[in-house]
Amino acid sequence: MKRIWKMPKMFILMLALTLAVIGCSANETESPNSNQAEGNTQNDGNSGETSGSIANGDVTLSVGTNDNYYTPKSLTSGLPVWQEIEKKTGVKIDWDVVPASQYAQTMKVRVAAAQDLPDILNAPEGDPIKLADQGILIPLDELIEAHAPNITRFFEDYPELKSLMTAPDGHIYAISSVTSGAAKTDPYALILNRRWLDALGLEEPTTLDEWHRVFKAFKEQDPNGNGQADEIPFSPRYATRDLGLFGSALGLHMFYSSGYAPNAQGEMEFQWMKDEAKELIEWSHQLYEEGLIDPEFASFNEEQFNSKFSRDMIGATSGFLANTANFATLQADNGIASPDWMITVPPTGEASEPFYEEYGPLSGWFGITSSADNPEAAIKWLDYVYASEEGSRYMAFGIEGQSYEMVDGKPQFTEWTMNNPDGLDFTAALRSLGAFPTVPWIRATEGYLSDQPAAIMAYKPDLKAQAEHVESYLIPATPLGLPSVEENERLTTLQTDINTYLQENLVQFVMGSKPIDWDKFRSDLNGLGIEEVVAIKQAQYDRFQEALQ
Amino acid sequence: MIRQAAIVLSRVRRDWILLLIALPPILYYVIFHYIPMYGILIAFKDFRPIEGILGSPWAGFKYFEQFFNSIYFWRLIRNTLLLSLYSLLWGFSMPILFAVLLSELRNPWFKKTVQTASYLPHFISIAVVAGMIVTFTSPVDGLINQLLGLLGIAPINFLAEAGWFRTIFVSSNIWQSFGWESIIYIAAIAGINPHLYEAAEMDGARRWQKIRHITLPGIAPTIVILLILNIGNLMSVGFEKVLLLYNPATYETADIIGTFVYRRGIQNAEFSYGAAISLFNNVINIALLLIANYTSRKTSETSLW
Repeated sequence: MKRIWKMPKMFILMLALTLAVIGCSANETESPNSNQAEGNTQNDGNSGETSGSIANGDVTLSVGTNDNYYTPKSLTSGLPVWQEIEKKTGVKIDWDVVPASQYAQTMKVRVAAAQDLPDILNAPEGDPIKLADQGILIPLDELIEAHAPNITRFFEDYPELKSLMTAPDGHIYAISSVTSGAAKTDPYALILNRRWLDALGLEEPTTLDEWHRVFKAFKEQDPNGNGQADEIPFSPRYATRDLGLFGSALGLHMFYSSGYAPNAQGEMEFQWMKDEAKELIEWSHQLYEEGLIDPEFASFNEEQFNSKFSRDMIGATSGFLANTANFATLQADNGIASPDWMITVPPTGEASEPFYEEYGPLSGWFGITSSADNPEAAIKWLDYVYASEEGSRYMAFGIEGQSYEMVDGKPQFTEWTMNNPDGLDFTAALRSLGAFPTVPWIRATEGYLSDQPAAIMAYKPDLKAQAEHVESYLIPATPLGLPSVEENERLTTLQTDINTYLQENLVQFVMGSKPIDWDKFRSDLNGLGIEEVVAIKQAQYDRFQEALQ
Repeated sequence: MIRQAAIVLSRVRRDWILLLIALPPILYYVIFHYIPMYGILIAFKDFRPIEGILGSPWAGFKYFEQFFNSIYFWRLIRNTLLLSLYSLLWGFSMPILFAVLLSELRNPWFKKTVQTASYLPHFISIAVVAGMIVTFTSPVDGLINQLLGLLGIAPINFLAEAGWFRTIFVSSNIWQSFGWESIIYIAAIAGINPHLYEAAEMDGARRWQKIRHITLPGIAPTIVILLILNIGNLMSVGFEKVLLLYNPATYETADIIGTFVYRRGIQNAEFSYGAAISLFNNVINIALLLIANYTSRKTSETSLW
């Protein structure tokens, strides 16, 4: 009889392990999950401090973060960029890394045990508030003032970013990677199969009706030419959030702002509750009924998506501009002649100006833990890699002579990076050296911290043209200051049920398994405490606005 | 007293080797199952890592109340129970049936082949099984829908329709586990005294009568014990598979306590809340186990204790 007991346990252990591998599928590149925004920026263009020396090789810092996204080269294997930085700073780094897909889960448990924490920690949660309240992250503001001249100057140049990183109690507990520069050159947008468009002699759609007509034509006129109506006109990658991109035509900020946006009077609204959102959902439902949306959109799965892609079944999806190149490569590798993917202008409506929300401007949170023996060295090290000219160049460009050259005082990527002999795309090529890192770094809009996006565009005229195609439509996502400890606790309590309710119902509305009843939808959300969430978002929004003045 | 101590000592001296053998499992249970139980406290605390479980402030029944007041409370209970109940209902009889049928086979080579083939799926990782299900049931190009298409049936979006979830979950569970679970019954059948069969044959019993009057009664204690154990696990569905197969479109039938704990307790790092729900879950499991055991002890001879 003993046997019965033993098996389930071993089985569960095995399951737990396999689950750990696939359970959380973090995105390879930046996931569009940040909902912060950027205001006006100015930078005097001063160069950063260049003398990087912090210690004489007798200081070791442990850095806890996810491992290199280019998985064949672990940070622990002594990558060139980090060897150079070690020489420059005199600080040895003990990489406490976990593969990216498992990082958050693993580190959350370690944080909960509060033992053997690394000196510098990539916060495994959405924001640093809870960790700071629990005493795991220490305040950085005094350390920055005393020991981090580059970060100080960066904050002076970009006060709105500083304010986004400042907790309501006035302290800075963590610094964040900045993506505002990349957001301009690598926007997140709707992506369309231009080859299909051309094959059917169609124009780039702008209004919702035009999109509908294009999707219908994709479905009915066999643009992939295989004689079967197997085309999937629109295959969303983030389910109803992707459908939310069409909300641009109705003035809805559903993607990076998740529906929380202020109206003209500056009052925060939850836009999913508006009549316009109902309109959007009805439109989506119509599309779904006509077979124009991928029937598997609710259970998105990267492999299936790629498989459809490589068989030329998909007409439109969403993604970063850089993804268009990956899509084309994927199709070319599968024998599809001259694949051609374009990002489109945002859907236009009568009620509002069309727009795409920008990614970021912040991404991830990095702080110093209370178990750090030498916080001074830690902040100096962060100052060097995060905001100094030399350090940030290592992050953005890698190794001089290999991945970049200096041309007229400006770094330019080499052929090795942009047309890598091993067939790596440029991000992977940089990551194989240790650049494009998983520690905080900056791609800003001005000054030396903005060199990378420009250098990429210089090498990719086709991407540049596409970026310019939508540049005038880019607007910041709703800027929210960090929540207070109490607000944070209420948000976690309320938002889990709200998100479950929202995802479930929107998907069911679109698929038609539930009749679209917006009155009930609204009253249910009210019952789940949406008003309190909106009030908290309002407070966060107001705090940010005040800090700017 | 002294005499008793002397007796104990002499018994220890006599049986020391047996005690030694028993020691590792006892230590295992103490170290890994009893000592960690103090962690249950976390469900009643506002857990703060720096202060540890014991140092964190008390929260009372706050997290239990939060769970009981959640609009999803009843749905989670219903989904968890139904998923288990269906698994038990359809899944429990299958290995018994299979073991009995297998034991009636004459050709040993055929018997071994069938048995081996039947428990192979058990060794496939749940992640792979989930991947297979996703691929086979795809409404775009899945095998099952292509077969249905040949019969003129429009594609069914199996994984996006709440009504299909339990069927898919339970049937794939049976496919994966019936062979493996039948092993214990096959062993029990092999343990039945062959004289009984010979005697029955002398009395002119036919095959069906032998199954009914010898095989089934012979393995009845095994069946009852396994049933009690299964009932004690009613509230703990293998949540990994649910997690891999569900999506917002099927939450209605697929969202169970385990997945809810995963989303809130693990993903949101609300460890106290997660622990509270799990504790509640286990209390129900123990209650069910006690009821099943009690009922069995009263109605038949067999029980766990």
